[in-house]
Amino acid sequence: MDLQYSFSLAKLWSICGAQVIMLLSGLVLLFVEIFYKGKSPERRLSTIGWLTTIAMALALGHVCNKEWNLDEVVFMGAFSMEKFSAFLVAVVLMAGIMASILSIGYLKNNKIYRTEYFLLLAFAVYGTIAFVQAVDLLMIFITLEIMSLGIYCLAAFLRDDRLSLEGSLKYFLIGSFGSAFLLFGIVLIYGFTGEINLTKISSVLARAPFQHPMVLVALAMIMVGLMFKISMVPFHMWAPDVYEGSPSVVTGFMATAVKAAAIGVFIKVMAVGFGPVLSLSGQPEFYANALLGALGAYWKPILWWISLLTMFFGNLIAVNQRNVKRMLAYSSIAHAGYMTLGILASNDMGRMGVLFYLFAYTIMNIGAFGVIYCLDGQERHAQTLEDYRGLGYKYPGLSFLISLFLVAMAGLPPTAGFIGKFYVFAAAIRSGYLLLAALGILTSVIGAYYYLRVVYMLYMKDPVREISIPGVSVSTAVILIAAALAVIYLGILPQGLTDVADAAQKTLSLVF
Amino acid sequence: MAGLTEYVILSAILFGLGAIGFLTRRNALIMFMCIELMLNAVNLSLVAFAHFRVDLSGQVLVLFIFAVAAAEVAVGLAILIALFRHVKDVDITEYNLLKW
Amino acid sequence: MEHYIYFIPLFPLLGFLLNGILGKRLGKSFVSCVGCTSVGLAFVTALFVFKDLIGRPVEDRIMVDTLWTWMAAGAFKVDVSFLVDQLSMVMILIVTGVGFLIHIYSIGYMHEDESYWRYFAYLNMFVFFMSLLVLGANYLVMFVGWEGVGLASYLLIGFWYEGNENADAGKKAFIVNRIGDFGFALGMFLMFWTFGSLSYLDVFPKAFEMYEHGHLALNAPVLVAICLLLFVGATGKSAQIPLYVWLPDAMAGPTPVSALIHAATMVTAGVYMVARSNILYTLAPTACLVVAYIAAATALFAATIGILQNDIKKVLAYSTVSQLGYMFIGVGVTAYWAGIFHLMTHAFFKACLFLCSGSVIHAMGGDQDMRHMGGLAKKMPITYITMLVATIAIAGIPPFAGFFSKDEILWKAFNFPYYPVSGKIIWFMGTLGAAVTAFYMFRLIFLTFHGEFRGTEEQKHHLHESPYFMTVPLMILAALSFCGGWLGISPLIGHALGGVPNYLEHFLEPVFEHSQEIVATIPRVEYGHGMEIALMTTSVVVAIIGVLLAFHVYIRRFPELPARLREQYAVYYDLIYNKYYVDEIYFRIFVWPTYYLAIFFWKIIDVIIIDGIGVNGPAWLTQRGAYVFSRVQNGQVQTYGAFMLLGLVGILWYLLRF
Repeated sequence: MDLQYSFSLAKLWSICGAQVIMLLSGLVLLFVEIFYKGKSPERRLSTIGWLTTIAMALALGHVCNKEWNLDEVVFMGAFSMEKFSAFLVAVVLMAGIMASILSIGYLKNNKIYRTEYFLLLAFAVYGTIAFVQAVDLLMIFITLEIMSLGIYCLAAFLRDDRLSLEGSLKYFLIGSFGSAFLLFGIVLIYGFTGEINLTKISSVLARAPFQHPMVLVALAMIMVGLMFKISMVPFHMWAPDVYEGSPSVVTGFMATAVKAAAIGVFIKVMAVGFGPVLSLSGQPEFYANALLGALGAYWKPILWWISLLTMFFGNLIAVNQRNVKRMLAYSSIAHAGYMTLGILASNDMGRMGVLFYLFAYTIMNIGAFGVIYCLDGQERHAQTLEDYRGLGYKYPGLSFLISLFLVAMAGLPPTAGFIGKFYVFAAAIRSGYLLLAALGILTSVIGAYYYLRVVYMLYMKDPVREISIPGVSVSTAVILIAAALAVIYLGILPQGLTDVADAAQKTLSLVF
Repeated sequence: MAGLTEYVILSAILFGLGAIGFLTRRNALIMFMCIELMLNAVNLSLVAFAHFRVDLSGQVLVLFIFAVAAAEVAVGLAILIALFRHVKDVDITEYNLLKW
Repeated sequence: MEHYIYFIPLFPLLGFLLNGILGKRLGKSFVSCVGCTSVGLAFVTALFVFKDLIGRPVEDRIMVDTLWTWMAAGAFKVDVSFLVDQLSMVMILIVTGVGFLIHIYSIGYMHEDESYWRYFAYLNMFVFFMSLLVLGANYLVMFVGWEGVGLASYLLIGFWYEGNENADAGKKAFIVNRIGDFGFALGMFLMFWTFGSLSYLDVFPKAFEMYEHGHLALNAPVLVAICLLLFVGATGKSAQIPLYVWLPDAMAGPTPVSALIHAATMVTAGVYMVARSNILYTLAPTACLVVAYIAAATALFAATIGILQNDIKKVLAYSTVSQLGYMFIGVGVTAYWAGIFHLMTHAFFKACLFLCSGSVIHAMGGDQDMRHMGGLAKKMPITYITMLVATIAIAGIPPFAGFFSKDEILWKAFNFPYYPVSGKIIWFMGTLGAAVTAFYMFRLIFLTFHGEFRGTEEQKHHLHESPYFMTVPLMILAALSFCGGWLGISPLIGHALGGVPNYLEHFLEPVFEHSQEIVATIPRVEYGHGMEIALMTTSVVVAIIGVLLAFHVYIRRFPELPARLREQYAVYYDLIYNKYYVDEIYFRIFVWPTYYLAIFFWKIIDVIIIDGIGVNGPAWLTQRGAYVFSRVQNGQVQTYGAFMLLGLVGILWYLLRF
């Protein structure tokens, strides 16, 4: 590792602007939180909540404001900003904004007025963005930890609720365990190549005997560390417990933003770090259409099996769940499996499909968790299938919204979920994974069963107990309705987003 | 004078011990320590690599990892204490309300 | 000027949105007005399109209305676009036309329902998705419609959700259709893989071209696979063996829904899809054979079960399954136009039958059991006459509509170009099924409208003819059931009548042109007019035998003969001494085997094998599997860690084994 990087504030701002905004606003909020007393706890909560939201909106504005055709996309060899990263950063910020607005209502419902919640959220969002942008294995590790530490605390935020704490502790333990593996992998790669920057690693690897056992062990460990965050089977087992235990809105955030980030980094590490092979001229070359490059022959069969297991177990075990949050946890595992299919396809359509899928999945998942918190009132008041019986006529608006989100997750047309699924399956078929795609479609049949069972409970069963929920705040309603409209809009007119996603995935080679 | 391979093997053994301890010990605090052991095993090989490559940056990275590990423990202990208030036990097998 | 086709789906969509959002507040008259007008306008638009279409020269009769690009990635592109050719024209006229009549009827039928607005919103939604299905210019738009009509059907079956049985029926329909959709989606992806497109105007010419240039052999495995997978979808949607089980249960929904969705339109989507993909099926004779055999088996099987049903709607449900079988025989033996012809006549007479049964149920105060009916002809003359017309039509007696279409199908089956011997077998099964059809349909008429009334006094007091909103659609449909078949008079009869042309066949010909070219290259035995007349006579005669038998059992010897048939074992001994020796013969030759066959089909195959093992089996397996695998997730964080380690070890083993 040499120190030829030149530092300039302008470059920092142009490449890491969103990070800077989130970090600074996090620090400012820290002071606001200390010195601002507010008229009432509720006022104080919403003020801080909205300030956080505004900070994220500013960061999102910074991301969306530019074309991201920079001359230099990498800052200090640590962070990159090209369209691919920008897309994922935007997804993360969108998830953050939705989560932070929903959180205001959620915390009020649960009568929790501790405002450090929003600080944690802001720092978690900061960590997630930095994670997405990182192109340096050490940065990947550190930002992963920043992101995770924020999320652990958020997951444990219901201090009086044993399940919340239990989920958080499990997440913490297994997360540390997983990141130790990631770290070991990183160090082995460092030991072999002497580099921690992805692009440099790839140029060393392209010239070196990359089938060396040390590289393979390192790769296995790095993959495991990342697949753990994406919750791919068999590294998924923490997810249902944590998702069930955590506050609903936090679950929504972590099921989407964290997963999106981890998938983005996964693609980046594989495509940039371990993808390139030597071209005829002797120069390493970005090898876009074989995601894993020369190592692909080693990795694709593994990803094949992991994708299958993830789709299969995620969908199958979800059938057995009575708790809607836990069911959605398994469903999110299954979605990770579908996205793996797109990664495995490793063609343009596949990567584009994964990005589209992530976007759509983020909207519908946070939307669904938003409705769950509304129907819940207080956490764990009403979140089993039995509680949902007959709510369709008592709360038609919320029931319709959750039905729509679930139908979209089941992948029925004309919703965004259908388009996403279609792209990843079509991409897999185009790359010749016919059997896997067929099995994937089979598992999605099981998927439709449990998603629609919720709808069935809502509309076609009589209630067994009286559920009454506090009113839904205007901001929550706006977010949920906007999410619903987006789900339908993207199902009918997906072209705008697919163009953006396609342009984004094409820039992956710029990092190199 | 031990060579690089010996260091890496030692670090792998420590890492493995940490992992086995994590998977077998019931006490949550000891599990924390096992994670620390795993991280420090990684540190050991990192220092060794840096030393043999004559690359100072590897040594610097160790400091980062220390910082992260410290932050991790701080958060982990806080969560454990909060949970201890409910369960009155640090036996990890008691924390199993969330399952299936 | 083709950019107005989209109005056909647009009107029902607007109706759905208006009724769905505002319906609850604005009252019943508003809802009925919006509901019916939207479909009526769609019908009128379809008529304009029709006028436009026939105004064009024959070779130019394809209209495409592209709205926007839906998906595009590289060379792959799918548009949201509509295609009107002769085939979709016929379909959309049926959908909007019959749909409109049923909407009108619903005003009368549903007027007391609390969720009137919801009903009309769903119904409009159905018409919207159905027109997408029919008008879509590629398989993906068709798939949207395909899923959408499934959703509408699901919602409407469970419309009266208070009875959990209804909700379960809706769920069953949903699960079965997902199995079908799985096949459809797979077939679609396989098609995409083979042809690189999903648009009709790309795939079909390409398939034909590949065949002509020898890149694609007749009966190429991939084509057979595509066709069979698509057909799996069709068996789900169009209720064929083994996925028909949901349709009889779907009768839990309101009767007009049964008429529209579960008789006239949605369930025929599979037939339309096969006819639409005709070139693929023609190129895959094995798939055709499978389709034809499954169809023939369904036609006979469901008809036989129909004999034993006492619920008036259940009879009609099994009858629908059976008639769908006939349509699939038609498309299976590559006589695509005949399948569509029967689809059309069936839409008329089966919608009429269902609406009549609705009228009867309405009069009976919701009672659907035919054992409680009888003698209703006097009280409800319009219902009686219209239902009788439709029954004669379905029984296949000339000159009513069903005769022409069913006869054409059977004749074409007899002439099955690819498999002549199988063709004969299918013809035989179909003809037998026709006799059974005549029997159970007239049984329905006799039990319902003739003899003495067998219900309660209160019901008797309440009997009345239905209001005009209900009877006028009945009369229109009955008229169509009477004369709808004249559009497709076979050349033989047409010639005898002084040169009446076969309008429908000529109209549809261009759609099936390439298929006919391929079929024409297959050497086969040509049968003369003599054979055709003989077969035609046979089918009319067996139908009449069926009617007479029903007359004998349910009018002349009623109720003592049917009662005796029910107590088969005890009665068999007595029968030898019975003075009605003629009954004995009937019993031995016709009724006894049929009766046992029916019992066997219904109790063993239907209830135990198909419903029990075929449908509930996988569901049970899934539930058990879910339970077992969820136990691995035991709440112990160290187990989770162990699985992670196991995964890592597995990956390392795989990588380092080289």
